[in-house]
Amino acid sequence: MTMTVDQVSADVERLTRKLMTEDVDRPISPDDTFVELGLDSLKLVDLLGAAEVHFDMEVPDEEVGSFVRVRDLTDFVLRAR
Amino acid sequence: MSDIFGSAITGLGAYRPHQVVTNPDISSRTEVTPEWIEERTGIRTRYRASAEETVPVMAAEAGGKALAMANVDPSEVDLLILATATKRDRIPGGAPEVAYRIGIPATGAFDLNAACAGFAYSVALASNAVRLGEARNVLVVGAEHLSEFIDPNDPATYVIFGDGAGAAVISRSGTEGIGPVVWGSDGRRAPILGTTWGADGKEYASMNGPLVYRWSTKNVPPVARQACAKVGLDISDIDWFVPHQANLRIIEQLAEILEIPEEKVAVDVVDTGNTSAASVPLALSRLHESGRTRPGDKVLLLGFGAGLAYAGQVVRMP
Repeated sequence: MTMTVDQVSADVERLTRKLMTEDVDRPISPDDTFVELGLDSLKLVDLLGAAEVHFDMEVPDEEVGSFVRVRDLTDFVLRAR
Repeated sequence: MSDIFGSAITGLGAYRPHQVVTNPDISSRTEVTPEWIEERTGIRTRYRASAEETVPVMAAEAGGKALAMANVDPSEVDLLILATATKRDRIPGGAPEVAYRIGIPATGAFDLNAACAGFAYSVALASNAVRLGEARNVLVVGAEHLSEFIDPNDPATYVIFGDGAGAAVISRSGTEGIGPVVWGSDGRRAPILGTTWGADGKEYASMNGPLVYRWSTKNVPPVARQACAKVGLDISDIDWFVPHQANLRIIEQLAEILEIPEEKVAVDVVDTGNTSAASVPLALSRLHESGRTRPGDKVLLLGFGAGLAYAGQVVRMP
């Protein structure tokens, strides 16, 4: 199924918010870093795992360190699908 | 053809070094805060062995206690397996010295390096030796002196790893107390956890924490399920879960994925840190010492780490 940029972006935001533990109602911008949103490196791994299941894709090990901003994950999903 | 005997764990023993390092101790000479350490690892204290507390010394202490609990005389031990990756000298292996220190005469003795999975691998080999009649009793010890391989400037490893030794006696038994092992490896990912040479010419532990966490939480749960299936059990039938004490985040995530309730999970990492091959027997010993277990309880052991290598089996609590 083809998803629009907005749909992917909204789903990435939703998955990200589920893993946030502080200030969970704050607005999320594509330019926010995961660190700013309170996701440390292991939480980010949890997020990538959730995204792999949700979007039915695989994130290669080599790419794991490249996700800094919310936008990076959205872009990756759009490329991968 | 010989008969096949039963095998079981009959004794457990632990050795934790004298020096305790707290999170405030680490914070006082690094940039990391106690809160940062605890939030990311769940670890509050870890033990640091002195120069005299070598791998064989610690292993002999733990091994002697395990033999005492099993009520096995050193002369009745036919094989000693030392699971370690951090003995100071590569040659000789440490197992013969451990046997000598305990007073076990001329036993078969060798070291096994499967890093954090070393104890589970060793239990499998020990059980097989007992089952085939090649040994009446096998002493298995996981012992590590990881602090000799820690870069004090690398908080990712400095806060996590600790030293210590844990031991188990595997004995001939009228019942089956050790289930078949499930083991495997993933050498493609070898670089994400191991040692590298620092600019000062020393060998230091290095770890890509996120990738280790990712691999563990993705690939280890199926091993746990398979180990249970080998003995006809479901994960929910297990009384106790004793995983490698990598860090609290990995342990909690594994328990959540496997739907194992918190009260069944052995957590020693908070006090002892990650002691690689020693972590499973140390956690198992602490669980036994807690008095919460009963003989015959079903325990799922699960080791995983550098290699990458993993192994798990269901055992009965002594």
